[in-house]
Amino acid sequence: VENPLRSEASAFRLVLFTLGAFAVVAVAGLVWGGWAAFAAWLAVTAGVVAHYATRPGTSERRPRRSGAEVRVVVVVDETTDGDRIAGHVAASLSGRPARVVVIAPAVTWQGRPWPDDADAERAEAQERLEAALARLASAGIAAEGRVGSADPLETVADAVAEIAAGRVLVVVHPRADASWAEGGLVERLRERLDVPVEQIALG
Amino acid sequence: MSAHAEALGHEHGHDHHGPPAANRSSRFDAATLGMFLFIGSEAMLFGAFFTAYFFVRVVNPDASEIWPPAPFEFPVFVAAVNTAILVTSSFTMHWATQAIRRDDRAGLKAGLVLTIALGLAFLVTQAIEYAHVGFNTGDGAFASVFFGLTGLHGAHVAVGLSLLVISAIRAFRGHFSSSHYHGVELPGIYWHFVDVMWIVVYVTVYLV
Repeated sequence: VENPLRSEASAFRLVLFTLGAFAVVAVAGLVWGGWAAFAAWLAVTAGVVAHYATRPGTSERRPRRSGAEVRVVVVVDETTDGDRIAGHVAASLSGRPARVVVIAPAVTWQGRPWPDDADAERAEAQERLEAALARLASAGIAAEGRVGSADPLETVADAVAEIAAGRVLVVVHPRADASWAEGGLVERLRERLDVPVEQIALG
Repeated sequence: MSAHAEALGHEHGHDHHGPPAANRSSRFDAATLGMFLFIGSEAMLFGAFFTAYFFVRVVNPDASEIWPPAPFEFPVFVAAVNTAILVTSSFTMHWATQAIRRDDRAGLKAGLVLTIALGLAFLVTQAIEYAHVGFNTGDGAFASVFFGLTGLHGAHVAVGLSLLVISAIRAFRGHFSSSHYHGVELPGIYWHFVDVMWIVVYVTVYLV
């Protein structure tokens, strides 16, 4: 079943569906009367429900990875350095061809009463991301990267769906107190995703 | 220094202060589940008002054959203009979200400002409509249902506008990017939901 309110884009499609469906209802009502409008409403509602019910959901639509390529999403916290990340990712790939997406959360202070300008945190995360990508490149791993929010759950889920990742690596320092690590990111990723989520502690 | 992998256990080994973490048994994240529950409750609220509407118009044995009962009339054309305004605002909202997905912050700001302007135009038009409609809540059950349904929807437009204003302020302060736009997407879902409800209200109350 496809959720018609899964995203803004799907909600917008629902607006268009509703517009078309109720145009039919309005025409039926104006031409043949109220009961015809009711019948038209029943028919178009059944059609719209059938449309969404027969479309696969997000997780069902995700293509399965094929061939020998390994697809991995790597989440790095603010305390780990690029060399160790590159070393561990390279070891886990065992030389196989891979597609790697690195996500660096922008760590912001969650306690402030009003959202502040988060550009500084995002710039810091961008620097950390570029450093990690450079280390991966020097280790022979071509990777792409994204800056995530302080709670990068959605960013990770989107990346997993986009590349049909086979697993997720969450890399933290053993003594890290990253806000998203304290928030149980790994547990929530395991609940949300249907791919293995592995926490890597670099010590 | 060596790297090692460890499977995360269900229990944390370190000392924990404060209340225990909330149990998360759902596959939905909290924000998305919250939005679903909110919209579900909103749909039921509108459902209650539509039930009253159908009772007054169809089930009631004293219901007039003509809707609304003579000599009153609904301002169908003004409401059609308002419908066009609100549907257009869904397009500008969608444009804003698509813009930030491409890291186009100018497009995001323009889309949000246009959506807010269209939402305000809707509310102003509805207020003018109320002032000139020619009947009031005391003129019959049909009038109560009319003001109840359209007023309930207007209140939702006002709430949606508040959310969009917050999003716009954050957009102008540079809070959003292609990988971080949850604060635009959720108000967008709500705005489209409000738009869907208006299409239903307009066709049901004004046209049919």
